[in-house]
Amino acid sequence: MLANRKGILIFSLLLMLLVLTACAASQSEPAASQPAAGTEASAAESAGPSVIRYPITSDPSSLEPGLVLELFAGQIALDLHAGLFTYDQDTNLTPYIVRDWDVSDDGIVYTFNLRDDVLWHNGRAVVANDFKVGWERYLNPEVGAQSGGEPFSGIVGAEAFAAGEADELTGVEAVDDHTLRVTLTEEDPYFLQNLAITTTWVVPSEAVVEGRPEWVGDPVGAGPFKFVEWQPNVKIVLEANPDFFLGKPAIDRIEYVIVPDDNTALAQYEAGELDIVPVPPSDLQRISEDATLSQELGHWTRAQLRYAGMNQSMFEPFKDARVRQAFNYAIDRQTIIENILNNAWEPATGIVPPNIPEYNPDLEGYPYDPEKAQELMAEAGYPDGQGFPPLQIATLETTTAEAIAAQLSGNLGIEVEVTQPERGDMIDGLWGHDRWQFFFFGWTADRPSAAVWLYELLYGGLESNFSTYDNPDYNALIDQARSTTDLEESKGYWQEAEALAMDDAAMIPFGYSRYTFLIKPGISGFGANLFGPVGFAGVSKE
Amino acid sequence: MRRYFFQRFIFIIFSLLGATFLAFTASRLAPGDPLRLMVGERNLAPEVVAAWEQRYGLDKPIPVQYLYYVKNALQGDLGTSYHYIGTPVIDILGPAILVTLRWESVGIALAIIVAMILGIISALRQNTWIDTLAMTVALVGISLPDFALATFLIVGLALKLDWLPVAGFETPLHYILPVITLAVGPTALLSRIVRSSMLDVMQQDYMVTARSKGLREIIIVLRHGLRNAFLPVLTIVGVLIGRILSGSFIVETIFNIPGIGRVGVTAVLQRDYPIILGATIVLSAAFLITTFVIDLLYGVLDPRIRITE
Amino acid sequence: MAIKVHNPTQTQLQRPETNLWADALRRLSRNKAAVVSAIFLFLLVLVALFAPLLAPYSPYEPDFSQVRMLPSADHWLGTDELGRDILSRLMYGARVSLFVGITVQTAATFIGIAVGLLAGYYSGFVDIVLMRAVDIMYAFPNFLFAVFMVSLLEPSVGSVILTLSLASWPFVARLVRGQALSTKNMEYIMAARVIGTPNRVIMRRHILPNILSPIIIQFTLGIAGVIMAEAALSFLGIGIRPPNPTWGGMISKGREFFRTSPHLAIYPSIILGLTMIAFNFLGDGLRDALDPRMKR
Repeated sequence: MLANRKGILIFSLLLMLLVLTACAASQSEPAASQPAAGTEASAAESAGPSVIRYPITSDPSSLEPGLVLELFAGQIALDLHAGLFTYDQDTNLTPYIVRDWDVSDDGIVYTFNLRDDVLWHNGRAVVANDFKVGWERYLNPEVGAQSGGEPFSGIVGAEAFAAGEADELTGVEAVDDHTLRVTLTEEDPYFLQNLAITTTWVVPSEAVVEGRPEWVGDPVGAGPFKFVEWQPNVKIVLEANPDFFLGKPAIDRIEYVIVPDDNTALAQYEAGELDIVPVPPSDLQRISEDATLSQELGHWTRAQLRYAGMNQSMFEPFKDARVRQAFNYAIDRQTIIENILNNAWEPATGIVPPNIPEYNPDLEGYPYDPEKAQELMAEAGYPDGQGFPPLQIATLETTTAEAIAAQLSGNLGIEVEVTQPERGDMIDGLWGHDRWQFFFFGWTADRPSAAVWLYELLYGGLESNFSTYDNPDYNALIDQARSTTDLEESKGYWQEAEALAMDDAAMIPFGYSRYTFLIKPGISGFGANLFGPVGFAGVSKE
Repeated sequence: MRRYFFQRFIFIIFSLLGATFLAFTASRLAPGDPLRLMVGERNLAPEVVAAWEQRYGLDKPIPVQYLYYVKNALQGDLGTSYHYIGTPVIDILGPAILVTLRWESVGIALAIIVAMILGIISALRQNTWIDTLAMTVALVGISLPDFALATFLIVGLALKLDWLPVAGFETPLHYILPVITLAVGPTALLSRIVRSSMLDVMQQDYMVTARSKGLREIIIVLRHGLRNAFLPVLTIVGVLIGRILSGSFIVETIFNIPGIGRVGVTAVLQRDYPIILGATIVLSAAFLITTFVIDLLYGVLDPRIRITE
Repeated sequence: MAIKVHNPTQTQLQRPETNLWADALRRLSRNKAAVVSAIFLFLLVLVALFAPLLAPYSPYEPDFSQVRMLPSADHWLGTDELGRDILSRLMYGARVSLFVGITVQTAATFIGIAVGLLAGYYSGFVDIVLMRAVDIMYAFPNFLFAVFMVSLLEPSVGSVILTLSLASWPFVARLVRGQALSTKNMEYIMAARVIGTPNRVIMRRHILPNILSPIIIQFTLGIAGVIMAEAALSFLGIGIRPPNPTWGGMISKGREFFRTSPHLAIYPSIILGLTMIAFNFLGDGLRDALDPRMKR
């Protein structure tokens, strides 16, 4: 009996050991092949293929340019795909697949001459009809294009096609293989800009029809890099496209490594496991003081505004402009950005970030003036903060929000708590206008236009107007700015609107963020325009 | 015995249903909508939302959605991910589970071995400095949150000393730091249990008898003590494995290991319902089955325990 | 009921209650580690209670000109990323951490006792149903549970406490059930049942007091577990609201600055670690002291 039990014991122990060693063995199995790849990669630094390892925080939802939803995935789209136009490193609108183009005198008919040397990654030549078919696809609501067809809405027949009332997008016509004619319903000075946003770039229709309509599988594009593999939660690998119409890129391979934790990514860079990494503000001081790392640091301007929004429909006191102004005066942007964020951002003087055509350099913003702020609060009926209801600021980046909250409490005598909702909750609550009375958030451009902030964030009744700011005078100015085709004239309206929003303290603009990267020595040509890194086509690695 | 098996099986199924229902309801009630999360900072056309909801059946009432889900799940179809548009859940979870099993089995094995050694040594040298040292070392292990420990290890061993890679999972070297981080807590817990059950066992009559027969201490310990001391360890290991499987998301996030913990948390943050539910099923099932097997093993090993009909 | 534990030692005669507790206390006082731990924890509770009097600075008020300062005569443990005094924050943090730990464990213990006693005492259908609930909670991946709960509720101290309580009670329930199972077949319980004592009374008067020691031990160790769990929630960014200092929150925030200013994470780690060790030593001491079987 006892012997029997002992036997079972020994057997089960052995079994356990076996399972464990099996697991350990199966672990070393890919490990056996991986080091080979690893040594290959490190050997590559001297001779073989050159690889860039670049971190992204999570998997994108798709690699089809029109379906790409995440900001960072737009960058992968730039490597994989090509479109009619693009933005260069200085954010200039540049023809890409288009060789040259004509606009009719009334500004309604665009005729594009396409390059004849552009090939899809599957070997077929890119023709004018691909764009017609592709845009029709994005206009179909069932496809779920990220843009919702918005960039094409000005094209003749777009509305009818989207509604299913027409079989084709009549305003787009493939005259021949390399001539594309687009007819708009009315003059639109921003039309070409739309064509440079990656969400209007298309993929060959046969790749869509053959593969899954959702298209996670084998993406085919016309860009400088070809798709190699995508291991969810691990990495996305691209390789140089030898047939790229602007010449084969200098880099042989890009590995977009998925690294959810910023600190980990930075540590991996320092250990040589990544080649380029964005720098979190918390480490900026150390890095700029480090003799070696400071040499590898690069900054680029970004079109992003970080702001604190005051939801008027949820918090009564925010309806009073004096309270909003007091809040603006009570925050020392300069000191917070200098001492706490290590100058990772630039203090905001207005709502539209610099380098956007409508940027107004004459705006001075709200200076730090606690006395003025206290006066305004007293005028509004809250002397020393008395009678002011307790307030919560919702944020995903607690450091800055905590600093803001502390200053508001300290200077105005009011109670401000910081709440860090879970990300889904935060975003949902913002769009619903019903969860956060006060929030700290960012808003990033996908095109160089003041409309991104002045229209999207503050226009009355708009879903993305999280502050529920609604000022008829302001709305009228925005309407005028949006409907004016003369760019100089509309710039005037935008700036007038911005000045009004600033005086009225529609929001608390806080800072303009920058892109800050560490780049390993030997890598050149990496850079970012206002909307993000420009892709790896022009990057080389020694 | 057969009835007992059957009963446990029914219980497991029942608990699984309960867990998925909980996960299903919670994920539907939680504020935050998956599409919105993907879009983040951009405006979204209402037609897009509508088309999307229709495609995934999100426009139907929650109980109906759940029934559909269970029906499909029983046929082995866990659906397709929302985030990885159109990708079957199993394609995302499968590799993640393998990764987690690989590195965590090493961690658990390490914890058991080290704990047995530490526990036995301190039991044999009870109340000496060796005992104190071993138990203090063990305690230090549960005294730090794993994200702190992981950070200290990365900065110390990987960056300052440059002995080991920071993160990733390509080579066996990559496993060392996460395995240590993972193993430290269970080692502490287990070694203390081994120690006290060893002490318990050593006072038993049969040990005294064996000793009086003049057998060498080491042989007594190995032959008689170890087996009995292993029993309580087994119980804890069962619970531990379950906890570790699901609880290692922090270690997996910091060391960038694409395992089930990290994938699960990412899925929650992205509101990827099918992945969340799939992960819940897999992790719950792993836990329930492990405890079941351990119970069986326990019954076999411990004469005092009987499985009653 | 599937598995029965026949534990011969459990049938030993119980000593009169007063003696048991007095004995236990005497045994505990001989355990040096436990005594030191108890004193440490007692001091910690004092610090927590009197934090407003003891703390040299406000834990909330930042000083942007003194950011991430190293320890000095002014700030004994330095300042954090917003220029707040770390020592003061640790003191206030003790409040939050201990409050959360004790509240959660108290709630968990009450629920656990109720469920465990009912399941263990009645067996049969009640047992099966209650234990399935325990199983589900056990089996449900705990991090998913936490993220769900926090996204369903407003992020606040209350929701953290609720989340952790809901996650903790099954442990107590299992423990109590096991103990109740082995106690209920003892002769004096049988006797009480024979003379017609109501079940309610039997459970409260006769079973509960006899299974109190494992519950006390679990309570002590459980507090440590809860404090640690709160730290994990902080790492996920779903812990207690940032302006309120918690040790876990301080460590996970400090982690961001670890390369630049390691002291931000190190001091809270030390205090958290010491507290964990103290709770564990005390728990072990209590186990030795309360369990009459373990005469060392």
